[in-house]
Amino acid sequence: MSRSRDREAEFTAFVEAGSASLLRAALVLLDSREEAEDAVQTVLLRTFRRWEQARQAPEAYSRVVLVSVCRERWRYRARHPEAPGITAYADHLADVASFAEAVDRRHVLVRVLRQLPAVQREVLVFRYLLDATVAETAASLGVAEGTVKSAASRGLDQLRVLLPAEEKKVRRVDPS
Amino acid sequence: MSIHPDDDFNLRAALASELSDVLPDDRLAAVIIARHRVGRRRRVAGVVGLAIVFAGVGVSLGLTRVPGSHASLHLAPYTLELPGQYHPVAASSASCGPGKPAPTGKPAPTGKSATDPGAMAAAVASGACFVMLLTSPFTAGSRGDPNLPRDARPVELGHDRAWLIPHGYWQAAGTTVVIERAEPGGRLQDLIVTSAGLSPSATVSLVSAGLS
Repeated sequence: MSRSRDREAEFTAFVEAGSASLLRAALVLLDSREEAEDAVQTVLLRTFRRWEQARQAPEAYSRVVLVSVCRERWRYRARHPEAPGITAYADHLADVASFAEAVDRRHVLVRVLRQLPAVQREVLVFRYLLDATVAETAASLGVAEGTVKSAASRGLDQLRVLLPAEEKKVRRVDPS
Repeated sequence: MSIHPDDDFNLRAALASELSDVLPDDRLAAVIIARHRVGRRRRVAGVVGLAIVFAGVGVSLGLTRVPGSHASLHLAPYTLELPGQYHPVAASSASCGPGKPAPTGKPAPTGKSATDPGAMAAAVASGACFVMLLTSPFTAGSRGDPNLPRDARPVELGHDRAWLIPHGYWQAAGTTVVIERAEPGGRLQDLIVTSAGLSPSATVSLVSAGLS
């Protein structure tokens, strides 16, 4: 019983310290706040189930699980394009339906990152949001370090192109 | 917020600033632990349910035994009921079965080659083993039952003609009981019960009490 309590205490400490960055990463990698929260719960649940294995490096473990969960969702979407939750951001900025949606739409940078190809998005999230090194990013994503570097470079180039246009759209929607 | 795209990076700072309001629920860890407990209870219930289902299927197929009941070996038309501590196993894996060749190289009874390997059943308990096999029907010639070696001696076993062979069927150790029954058409068929870990009298007693 005490071992179980220790396990739960360790996990709680990890969640308190690391869940915010996981949620932010999921928010960029997926399409909505709801989907990101759901994915983070799945990630943490899988991490807790394998806590004996994950406890040595729970951050690294949960990041790998996050990549896996996000890729599962992308594959699901690719197979089920009719499924709800897919948002076309660029064309619907004027259709703000709720306060939550309005808050979400403040995230200009997030929206632009979501327009990038999957590998570039993953690499930028790992390098600039999760502060992972090139080696850690490569290990978590299961790609070569050279791929990480080139994807980061191309992703940044894309951001330079996309950001100004996106900011113009926001100004058009938000008169304040 | 202004993000200068050439500033490489500022992307880190810009993301931190833009997403500073994205925070998980304070009770997230408790929610996850609760979900884990519910999931674990469901998994345990599922495993128990599956075990019950498989046990039920196993009992109905005669692969497992119900505690307190007898273990049965079936070889139509014979059934040998054994005490509850025995449990059925594959004949090839039984310690006194054909999977374990005789270490002494002692020849098996002459009729062995006439047996159908599929017509075998076995049960084992701690330190004891029973294998039952049905020979192919044969016609008794002038030399009598081909499955009976010279050292076989007749024993009382109900209305059947039976012989006790003071060694195992495949191995030197053990005891073998041969029960001869007449088949339609004047042919004969032997039911051979071989045991290990039991005395000859205990073997005859169990066969006598349990064979039907």
